[in-house]
Amino acid sequence: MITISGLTKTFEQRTALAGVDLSIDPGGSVAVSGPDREGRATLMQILATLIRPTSGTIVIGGLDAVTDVYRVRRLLAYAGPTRILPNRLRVDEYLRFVAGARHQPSAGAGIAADLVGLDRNAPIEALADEARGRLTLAAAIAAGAGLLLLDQPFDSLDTAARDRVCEWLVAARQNGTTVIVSDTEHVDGLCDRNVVLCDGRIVESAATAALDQAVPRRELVGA
Amino acid sequence: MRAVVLREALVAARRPALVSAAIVSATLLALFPVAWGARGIPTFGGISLYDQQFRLEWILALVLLPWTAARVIATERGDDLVGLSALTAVQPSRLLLARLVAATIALVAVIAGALPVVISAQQMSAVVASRLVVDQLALLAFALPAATITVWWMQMTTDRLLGWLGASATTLVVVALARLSVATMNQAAVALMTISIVAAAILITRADVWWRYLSERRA
Repeated sequence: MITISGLTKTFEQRTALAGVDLSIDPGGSVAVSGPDREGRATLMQILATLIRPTSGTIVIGGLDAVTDVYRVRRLLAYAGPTRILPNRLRVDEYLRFVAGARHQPSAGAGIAADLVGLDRNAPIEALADEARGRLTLAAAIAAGAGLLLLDQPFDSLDTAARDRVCEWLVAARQNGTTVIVSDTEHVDGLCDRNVVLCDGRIVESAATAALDQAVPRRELVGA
Repeated sequence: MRAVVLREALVAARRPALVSAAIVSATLLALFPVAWGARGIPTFGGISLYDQQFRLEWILALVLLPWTAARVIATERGDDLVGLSALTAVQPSRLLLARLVAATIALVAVIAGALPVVISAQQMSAVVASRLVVDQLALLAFALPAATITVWWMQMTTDRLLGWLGASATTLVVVALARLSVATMNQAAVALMTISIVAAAILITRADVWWRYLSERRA
C-alpha cells in the first residue's frame, strides 16, 4: 500500500525528515510516535500530500504521491490540525458533503458523527476548538478511504468516544483499511507495528500484537 | 462534483447577504417610480421611466453584486482550500468552478428578484417586451463577470474586506472600460461576459498548481 524511501524534508534551516524508509502492506497499521517537532507531523502531512517532500519517493497504492497528488488523495483521508471553516453549515451537512464528494454513502456521515460524539445537528460555528478536532476526525472517517492518516486523533476525544473510534478502527482494518496513527500515547496495541521518529529519522521499528487478537480492547484504548 | 456544487449553493443560500441584497435592490427600484412618478426624473428629458430605472438597475448591480458575491461564497482560500481539497479528494479547480457557479446563481437571483418591479416600469413606459428581455438578459449576464472578479479577489487576498473592496474597484474599472469601448451597456455586458469566461478559465486551470500544497509557513 505504501512504500517510502529516502524521504527528506527541509524547512529553510530546519531538517524535519532526514531520510525515512518505511513500507506498509494493505490492511496494515502503523503507530508513529516520538517527541514533538521531531518529524511526526511532517511525515503525516507529506503522506497526506499536503506538503511536498524535499527528496525521496512515496508510492501509495501504486501511485507516486509527488507527481500524482490528486489521484493519491482519492485513496486516503487525513485527520490532523487542518482548519474546518463553518460556512454556516451543520455537522451532518458538512460530513454528508465530504462523503458525497468522495462518492461514499451519506449514512457514513451520521455514523462518523456518532463515533466521535458530535451532535449531528450542531452548527459548526458553535463548536468549541476541541469539538472541531473531533469533526476533523469524523470527516476522515466519513471519507471512507482505504488509507487513514490520523495525526493525534485521540486528543479531542473523551474516553467513551475513544473506545468507539478504536473499535471502529479495528473493524476497518479487518475490512482492509490501512491505518497510520501518529500520537504520543493511546496507540499502544492499536497498530501491529510501532515506529519511533526522532530527529527526523526512524530510530525504532517493532511489530506489536494486534489489538483485536492479543490484548483486551478496553485496556488498550485506555478506558 | 454534484456534492461540491450543492455545498457551495447551500453556503450561499444560508448567508443573509443574499436576501438583503435582493431586498435592497428590489426596494430601491420600486421606490424610484414612487418618488419620481410615471415619467421619472424630469431633468432627464426624453428618457422614459423604464430607461431611467434601467440605469439605476445597473448602478445597483455595480455596487451590490461584488458585495453580495464576497459575502455569500464559501470562505476557504489558500491553505484552507488545500485542506478542503485533500479532505474531499476534489481538485481545487473543481472546488473553485463550483464556487463560481454558485456565486453566479446567487447574483442572478439578486437581479431576478427585481424583475417584477422592472416589468412594472416597462408597462408604465410602454416599452416593447423584446427590449425588456434583451436588457435584462444583459444584466443577468453581468452576474458572471461580477462573480468571477470577486472569486479571483477572494482567492488572492487573505481578508474578506480587502477582497470585496478590490472586487468592487476592479468591477467598476472593467465596466467603465467596456462601456467606453462599445456603443451600449448591453454590448458591454456581452464583452464583459466573454472576458470573464477567459478569466475564469485561467483561474480554474491554474488552481491545481497554485493550491496543490500548503504554504510551508502553515506546514
